Amino acid sequence: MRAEEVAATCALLGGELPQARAAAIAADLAKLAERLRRAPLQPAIDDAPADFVKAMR
Amino acid sequence: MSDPALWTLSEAAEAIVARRISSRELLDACLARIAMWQVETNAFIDLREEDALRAAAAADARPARGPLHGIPLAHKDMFYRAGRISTCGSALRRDWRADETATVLARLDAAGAVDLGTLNMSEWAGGATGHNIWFADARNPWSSPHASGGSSSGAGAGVAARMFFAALGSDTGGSIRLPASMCGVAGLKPSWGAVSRHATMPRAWTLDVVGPLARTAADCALVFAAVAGPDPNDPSTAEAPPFVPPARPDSLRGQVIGVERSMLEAADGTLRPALEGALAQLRDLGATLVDVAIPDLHAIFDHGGIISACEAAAIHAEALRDTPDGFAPDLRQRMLGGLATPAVLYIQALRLRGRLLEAVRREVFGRCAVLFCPTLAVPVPTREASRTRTAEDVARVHGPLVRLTRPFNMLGLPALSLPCGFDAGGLPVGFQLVGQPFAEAAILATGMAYEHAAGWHRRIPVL
Repeated sequence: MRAEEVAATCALLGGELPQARAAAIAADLAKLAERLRRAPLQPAIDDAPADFVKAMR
Repeated sequence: MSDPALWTLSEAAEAIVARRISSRELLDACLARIAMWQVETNAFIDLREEDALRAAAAADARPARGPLHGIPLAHKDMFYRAGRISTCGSALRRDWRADETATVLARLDAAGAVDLGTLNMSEWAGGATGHNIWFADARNPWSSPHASGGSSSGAGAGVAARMFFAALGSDTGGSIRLPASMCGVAGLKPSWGAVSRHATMPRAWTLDVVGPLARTAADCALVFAAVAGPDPNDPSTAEAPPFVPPARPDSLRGQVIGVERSMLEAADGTLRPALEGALAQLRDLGATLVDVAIPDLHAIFDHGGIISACEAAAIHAEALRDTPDGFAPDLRQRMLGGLATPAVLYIQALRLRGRLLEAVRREVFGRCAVLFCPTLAVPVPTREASRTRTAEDVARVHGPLVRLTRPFNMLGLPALSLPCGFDAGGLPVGFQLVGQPFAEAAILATGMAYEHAAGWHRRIPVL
């Protein structure tokens, strides 16, 4: 995700981001997404948000 | 001990039931403490002395209805009461009046508790330190240049300074446990879904829980018992089981406590003696300690952060657009980041939550009944060093503070923070006992055995 895309997404929802902040968010999101792509546990087709309630039982 | 304000809630409750003291006398003792400590701590946003005096008189006119009858409490300023202002720590709600009452407040009222007023908090519950540019920072009663912890900042500071017997706070990433640890008191983050959030300010629905800060685990149990359980107005509580405060066990013989080694080793060296002392105490009580490791801990932390950021941004999107100056600049910048997070990242976090919990239940709680880890990995920061002005500051300051607490919000597990001594600078150190879903009784019972033996709750800050 590029800084321009971060700023544009934010603007779509009415928020205004300075260029430097948009760049920092883009860099953070890129690192975060990379970490999560490399994580051993990935969602499977059948995983759904409501599974959490079952897991609590 | 002659000053009843210094009793635990349990001791005060026994005295009320036995009619050795009146609610009015307890309230007067608390008001005297507030007169001493409010300037030092800035714990209250709105002290409602007249309302409290009326409530105490009403309590004294009736037979005791339970352990909270006539007990002075005060709560984070995010639990709505119909007709009264709930600021939520925000300039935007400085004059905002709720039109309904939080279920938790209604339950405490029904239990006969006396409500002393509303407590300071981080703006929109969005901070781990207790800073607030609108209502001024809450300050740590052990050392006013130091942070109280947040976001239930006034709750931690006020309970520690013995201004009231307990308080309700909320916890989305550590906001009960952090101020409890930094101020040297007990704080219970219940299981997700154990306590109603009806008519309370949302921070991030998927992670938010409401729970008590008090002087002891036993006191937390009494408050939790009064507020826990299903509420038709909050469907997330539909499966909440009944809760009865546990008896304090004489020993922990036969109990296996898992020690999350990576979390313990993450703790700063200045905290380690107190933490090792707590482990030694638990061993002396008869517990068997085993090393355990939470699988996928980093992913749990990251996914929790994504959910927290996206839900906060969604909650405040309209206000961020229409009244941006109504937010502290660092909070506004941080929330705007949530607006730009891809929806699929958020959904993947929600989808993985169940599997992450299943793995922890299997690999950790398959080996132990209760998990031990520090509450904080870093010493209590000064308010100056932890003041944030930009979103980058927030990540630098708050990231390390919530490192060991946020995972249990993501997992929905109950976690109790208890004091276990002081660091070399004289600031409190705390640890967490974490349990299986809805196993509050197990962690509270373990905590009660610990605190009875260790006695740290008897240490009180002095002016």
